[in-house]
Amino acid sequence: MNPSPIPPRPVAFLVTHASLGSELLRTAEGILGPQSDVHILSNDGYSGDALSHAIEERVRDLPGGRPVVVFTDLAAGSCGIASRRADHGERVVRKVTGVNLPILLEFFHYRDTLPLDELLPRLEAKGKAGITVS
Amino acid sequence: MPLLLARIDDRLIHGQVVHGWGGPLRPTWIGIVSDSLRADPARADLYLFAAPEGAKAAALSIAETLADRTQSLILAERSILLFPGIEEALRLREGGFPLEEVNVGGLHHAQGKSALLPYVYLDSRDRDMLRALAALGVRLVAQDLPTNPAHRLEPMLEGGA
Repeated sequence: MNPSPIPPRPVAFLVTHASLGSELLRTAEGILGPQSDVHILSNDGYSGDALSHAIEERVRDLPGGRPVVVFTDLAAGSCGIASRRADHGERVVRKVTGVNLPILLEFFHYRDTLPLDELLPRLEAKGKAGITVS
Repeated sequence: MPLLLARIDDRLIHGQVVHGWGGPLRPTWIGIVSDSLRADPARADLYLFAAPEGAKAAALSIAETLADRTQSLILAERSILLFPGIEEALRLREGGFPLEEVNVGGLHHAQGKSALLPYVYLDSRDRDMLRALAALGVRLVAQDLPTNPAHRLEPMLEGGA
């Protein structure tokens, strides 16, 4: 029996307010060690249109044939809106809003072993489960 | 109820509007005044989805905003008007809409524009349009968030290109 083919590694693209993306990555790397295939874009200085175009350009520059997961913070913020507006043609680009540390850690843990369609629901569950109120 | 806020912001509905202004102002209605957005329902939905809890939102053309029924709606609700650029605010005022004050809250960097404030970049056409708004009696204020200082723009436009 042949082993299941390894899915192409998804690239993480963090699009956030201010320096949240770089700080999230720095913190995740402090826990897991250095990560590759991660890109960051801050919304600082961008209009809504310009941010959407910047996302399209950055995704276009990423290695072809690899899916991209765009992580944004506020779904109802400029980053979340621009990520949904961006047009990537046929390329597989999935979007996750409300990114937090549990989501990012889960992504880095499992992106090399789980297909995207299994990984993404797992991220959503992990992100929500990471919030408790007592 | 008078208009709570008329704001020029090229990000339209986003974090500063939803949380920064939406928290203290508690709007029940947000109108995005933009002919181009009104003509592109799919793109408009992306912004309207982001309206804060408790507020209805709509994309309106300038002509629709000038209609009596819209002005009645604005007065009946706790309303915010958003403009993607200065031109929309100017055309609305020129059309007779009673804009008393316009908040310039976010005009980000683009080619040919220079910084008046960290969140306000203007070119000469922008300056001309702002002066035209001021000449029509509209008070111009730059303020990104209600907790940050408000700057009167008219003196800052004097003498500039």
